[in-house]
Amino acid sequence: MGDKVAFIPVRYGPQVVGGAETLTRAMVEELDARGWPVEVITTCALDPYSWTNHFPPGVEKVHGITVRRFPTESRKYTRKVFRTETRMLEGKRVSRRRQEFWIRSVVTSEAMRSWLGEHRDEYRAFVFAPYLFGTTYLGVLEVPEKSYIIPCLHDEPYAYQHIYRKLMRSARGLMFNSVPEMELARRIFGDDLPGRVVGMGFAPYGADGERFRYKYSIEGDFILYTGRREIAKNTPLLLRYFCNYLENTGREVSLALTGAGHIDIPFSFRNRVIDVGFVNQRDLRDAYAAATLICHPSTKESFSIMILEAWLAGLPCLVHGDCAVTRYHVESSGGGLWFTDYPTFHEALEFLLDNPAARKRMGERGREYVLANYSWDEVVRNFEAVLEEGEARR
Amino acid sequence: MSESEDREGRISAGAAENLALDLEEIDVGEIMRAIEERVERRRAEGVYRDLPLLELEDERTGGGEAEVSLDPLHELIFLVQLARQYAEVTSHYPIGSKRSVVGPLIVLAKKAMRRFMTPYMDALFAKQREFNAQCLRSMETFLEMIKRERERSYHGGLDRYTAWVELGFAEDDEELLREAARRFPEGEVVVHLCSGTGGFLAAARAEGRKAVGVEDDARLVRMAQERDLKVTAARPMDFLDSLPPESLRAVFLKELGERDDSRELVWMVTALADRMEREGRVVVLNHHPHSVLGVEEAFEDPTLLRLVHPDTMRALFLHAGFREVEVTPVGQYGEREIEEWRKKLEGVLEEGDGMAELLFGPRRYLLEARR
Repeated sequence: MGDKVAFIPVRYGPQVVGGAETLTRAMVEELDARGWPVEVITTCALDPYSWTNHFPPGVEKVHGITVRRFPTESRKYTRKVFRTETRMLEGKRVSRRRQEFWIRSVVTSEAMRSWLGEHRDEYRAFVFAPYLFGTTYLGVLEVPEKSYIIPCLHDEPYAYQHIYRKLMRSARGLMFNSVPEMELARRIFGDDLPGRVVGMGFAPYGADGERFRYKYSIEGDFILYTGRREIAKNTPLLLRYFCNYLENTGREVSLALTGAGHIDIPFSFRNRVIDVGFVNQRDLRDAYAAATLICHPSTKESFSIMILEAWLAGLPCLVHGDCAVTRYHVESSGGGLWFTDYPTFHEALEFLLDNPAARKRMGERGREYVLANYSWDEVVRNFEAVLEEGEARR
Repeated sequence: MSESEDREGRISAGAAENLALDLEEIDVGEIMRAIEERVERRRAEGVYRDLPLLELEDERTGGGEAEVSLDPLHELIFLVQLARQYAEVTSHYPIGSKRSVVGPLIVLAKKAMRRFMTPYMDALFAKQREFNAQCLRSMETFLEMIKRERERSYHGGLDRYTAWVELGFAEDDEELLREAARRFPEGEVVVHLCSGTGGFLAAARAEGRKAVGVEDDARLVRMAQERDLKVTAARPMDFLDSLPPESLRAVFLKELGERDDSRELVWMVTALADRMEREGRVVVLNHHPHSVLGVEEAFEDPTLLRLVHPDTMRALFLHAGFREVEVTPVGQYGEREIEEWRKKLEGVLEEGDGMAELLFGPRRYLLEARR
């Protein structure tokens, strides 16, 4: 039996934006640095909307790590696929056969699947991420005896489909990012689901907030949003709440958005909503150090890397109260506040802006929480434990 | 009630009361309970208007065009993102129909038409795509260049206020400053460019000279003003720029060229030559690179980037058009200081003939230039 551990994210590379992808890359690089024999098996896709093949297929080295890329099948978004997806999102019943048909339209790579089958003996484990895609579903079913999943599970209609129950129960173990995610998985897929919380490690870093302000010409108090800008992440909701807040209070505060994706900013608010686009890691860390607070309005999170990273810079956060994971982080640490509607957003933001001492204390609490719970030593220990538990069950 | 009055009413209501909470021991659960109670109380007051964005925008602009002053960099970033969105031209847009009965037929007809037209449209679109891609690339390159330039021109987080006041690395030798002040005739108004905490202004006052400072760091300006010293808040370069030629009689500078971009040194000396009256006098007090221990002391100040040799400084002033330039080494080590150092260095260095001069040479030099 081989001793290599293969990570199988749907996309991989330094230019790839996304929670599961960032987490996988961090884990791969950390294990590699600790001397683990790791490899990455992934697709040639870069764009998470079209999933077209961007990278050339074949083997390449990314930061010294072997990455094998396989082409994706072109996605046929037919009427049948669309109707199936709509029924799922509306919570209507979809037959198992139709689910099987549907998953084959959500990013698959036949070349990758057959390669996994042919080379299964060369690897100790295959770690797939995240749960939603055809690459994960078909890959796990191809090599179930060595499969582990980092599900990055959200409470969303897809999660309740039968195919995903089959997927989760086929794997040897699951690696959750947080306690609420694990509880959600056990509620949906059964209490006896194997696995434990692994997450991702964080290390303290230095940052220069003034540098960010200077480079991007930002003055005064500002709220930071970072990540993909899309409905699923509730970015339009944040924009609406923020613009209404400005209108209702007349306060001089800005919202700075970093990350990929398009967002329609009303023209009259464009001097207060600053979209700086995709930024590199140094700029992002400087942005954490420069911001007054970070707001993360998404309700579908399994981990929320950005909040934990922002806490390391001592930044308090404002999260959506309907997101079990981010609220859990905030309640456990005391590192911020939450909102559930516009009035609570208004008051929580007002409180944070008016109380620098409270902001500072919340930021400190958040930092203490991250350092205590998400060190790499702890994460790697839990990762290894999941592999050993899975191997013991064979 | 007019719209603006209504808005002001909402503003004052929104900022009315603060939550009374113990901020020492933060309990976020307690804060959230207080927030929810407050929301319940104030909901009826109508302070929480939450309009859809389009409606909000219409209300603000009255349906017309808003006048918004944007930072040019933010505008460029926005335009690049917009261009990225529209650069890809394709004929493969989704085709559908809302009509239930004839809908499928309409869709079929549209699809057939598209299939028929695609070869012609693609030929046209290919050129458009190529052109768009070139435009986008140009914009992205331009934006990248600007961001890189801004990054390079950022001098770092350790400014003079942080280094001198917060970290305590200030090095104001009052005796040297008084000696510099004495180089100016009594009754002359001396302008100190980059006056910092106002050490020279105070020394000049003690020597019976009138001095005014020019300083761009608001915190340092405030510190000097609290000592009842006269300081103008302005960038020294902008201040010089704003003056007519031959309008200054006496200027003092400390640590000239030892911070910031070295190109600014040449600019500053040239600008001084242009703004000084005939017979006007510039005095510079700089670190002398001759003394090993003096250099070590100088670089305790983390804002210092380099030392400028007195010969270099002299040459620059002469080249800029100053008629007479005289350099005097100052800041000799006292006997007691030398003795202390000798004890510290005993056994480490063997003292030869030139060693004392190398170690204990003058720490500073005064350059006096006349136009």
